Amino acid sequence: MKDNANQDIRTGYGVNDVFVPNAANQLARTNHYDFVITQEMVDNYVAQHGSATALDVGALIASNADGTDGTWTLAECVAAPVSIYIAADLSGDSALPLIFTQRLVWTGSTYNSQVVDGRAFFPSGSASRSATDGMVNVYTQYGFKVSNLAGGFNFWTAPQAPITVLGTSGWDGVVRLGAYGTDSTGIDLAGRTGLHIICEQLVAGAGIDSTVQQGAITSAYDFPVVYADWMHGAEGSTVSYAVPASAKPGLFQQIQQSVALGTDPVLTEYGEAGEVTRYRLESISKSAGALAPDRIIYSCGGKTLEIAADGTVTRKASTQGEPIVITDFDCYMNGSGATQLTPKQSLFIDGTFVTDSDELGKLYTQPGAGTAEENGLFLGNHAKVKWVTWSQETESGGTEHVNSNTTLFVRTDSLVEGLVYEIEIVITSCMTHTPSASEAMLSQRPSGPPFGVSFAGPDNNWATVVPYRWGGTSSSQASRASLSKVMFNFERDSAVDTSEDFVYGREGGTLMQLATAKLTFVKLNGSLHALVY
Amino acid sequence: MVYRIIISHGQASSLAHFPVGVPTIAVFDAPTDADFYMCSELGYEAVVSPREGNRSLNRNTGLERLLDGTMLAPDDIVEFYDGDRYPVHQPLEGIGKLLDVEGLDVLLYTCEEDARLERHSVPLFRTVPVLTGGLCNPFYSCGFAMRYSAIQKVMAARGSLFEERLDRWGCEDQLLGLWCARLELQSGLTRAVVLHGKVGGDSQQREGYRESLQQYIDIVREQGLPIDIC
Repeated sequence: MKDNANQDIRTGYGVNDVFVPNAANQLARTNHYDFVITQEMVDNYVAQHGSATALDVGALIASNADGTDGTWTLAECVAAPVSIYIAADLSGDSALPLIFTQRLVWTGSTYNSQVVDGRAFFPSGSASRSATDGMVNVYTQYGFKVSNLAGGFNFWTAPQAPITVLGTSGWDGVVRLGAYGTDSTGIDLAGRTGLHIICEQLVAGAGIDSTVQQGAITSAYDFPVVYADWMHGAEGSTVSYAVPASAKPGLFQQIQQSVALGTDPVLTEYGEAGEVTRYRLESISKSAGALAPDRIIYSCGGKTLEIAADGTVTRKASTQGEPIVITDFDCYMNGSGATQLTPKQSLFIDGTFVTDSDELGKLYTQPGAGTAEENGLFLGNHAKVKWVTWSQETESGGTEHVNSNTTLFVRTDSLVEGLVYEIEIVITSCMTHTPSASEAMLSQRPSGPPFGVSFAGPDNNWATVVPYRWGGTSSSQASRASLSKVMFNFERDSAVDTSEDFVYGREGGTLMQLATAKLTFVKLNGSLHALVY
Repeated sequence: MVYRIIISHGQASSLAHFPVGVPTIAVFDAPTDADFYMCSELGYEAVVSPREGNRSLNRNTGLERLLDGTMLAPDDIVEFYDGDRYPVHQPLEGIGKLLDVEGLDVLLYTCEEDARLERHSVPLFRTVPVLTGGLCNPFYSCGFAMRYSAIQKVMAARGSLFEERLDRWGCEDQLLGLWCARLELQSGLTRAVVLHGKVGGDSQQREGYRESLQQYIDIVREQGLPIDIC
């Protein structure tokens, strides 16, 4: 550890030593911090580096008490995950942005006096691959700018103190932002298809002219952004809004941002009687006297939802109903600039999002026999997969899009003996229906292979197993939750009768549309066993 | 002679639903006054579990208490129940007869809704032999009966009846099923005894299920248990 009185590197560092806890920083209350960036540290460093245009967090941590450059050795490296608290106020317009890559994390490539050993978070030990998230947790009560957003970082920030992002380089992977402040200069991350941003709220960041909200989204963004309630415990890509009583700050901006990305955000509503409705975007407009668009209208059938710029959601229906809950805010990425209604699938492996659509394409192609090749899903030591996919989408004009990638191929040669794998299959669809009308659901799904997981490899060709069927041929089958029909073991090269082996969607009318199923399996003594209990 | 061990967590109201006349030990974790009251009314022996939430430990504790106080004969039968799985149907002639007639060491009771019945055809009120040597075998511990001679064989082979390292939900009974298969103990699935409730088929929805399965697989490999392809 460095001997820097301003560094405050010590175990058991408490939040109360730095600032007074308040509502804005409650999240940081119980955390232990590995490093704290204090105001004095920043001030001394800046005084010694007058020409700096950004502050390297690793250099700050390694700096001497007088702000001059300090050294760090491999032996002094702290193993990730680490928590860093930014106690300096770097939220002003003129404040320097922070860099979290160059001197902070050693990825396993050439060591250049980095402070944190992050090798375990890079699958191949090299910065050229994606970093899993949770490598570095950054806490603050102030907002700040980040230069070069990189995967592996969780920025725990509240809407009052958002992170604003500048620059274009950095590692691929998953970034989590509590609050993401858009910037009037925009960020050109075109081509950063390998970066996946999960943020809870979008707010206007530094430099935004509040009278022109669209100024924040004029640049050519091209990265996937998922709006997830991750700071408060809820996993996944859903954000809940209760209607009509409460307003959700940032919802309007999230939708605006999503549209600017060339996506078609869908709102899913679960009604009181268990009916499910997915609203499609109808219009973004200005109310009388407004300078900028301040109303977003969603519609489905005879029902509409109106989202105002302050986050208020108003339901306008032909009949007055009980308060309803919007639970899905799905963003489908279609590439920069294009507005298409063909959704993409997504895959999470141990929480890391696979973003490259070309990579995803390979997962739905059966590996050939003979030589090793790239098709199929390589799992290795990654035990948990979440496959978010879709069945079909219907445009407001009636045009249907049907997903043909319904089989996920798992590479048998990538399975680790004795490791239990779990694949969670989440299937979404864009239809309004009631759970009892399963025949109606099926009639809209054209014939073709059911959803399923197939096990195959270059050296064998195991039978397709665990085909997933949602719905079923009768309403009783549609509501089934049982996975017992996949309770089987089989040996390689043996034929499996799949006619009766189904994985059904979750039971319960309110979840029929967003059907989920889990497959757990293990390779043991040369056989592949699906595990159902 | 039939003895009964019930493990219960906040299920005092179900205790009275169990058939009378069977010497019973009830093992509680986090017991309340209601639990002790019910035991005293029903004549059950109440045992407080040494640790909360470990079903294997609770069953082993109940068995240990039984064996401490009673000299069991090899043909005696010990029933194990979860606290809310009381029988809603059982044969008039008693389960001892069932085990004798079918030549079984273990009798697995079915529930009113039972996922195992989708894979095993068991006529109403009848018993069929089942294999328990597969990873996902039909040995569910919500309710079953075992001859003391079979219990002795398992305990001689592995120390305790249930594996206490399996402290998460599920799989401790599957492991016992594998051991029974390894020791060539005969198991049967019966609809002659039907338990209240629904069982099976929903384990995938439980949080942490993969981790439970991983514990199970690790122990299967550690103990070198053969796995049948069923």
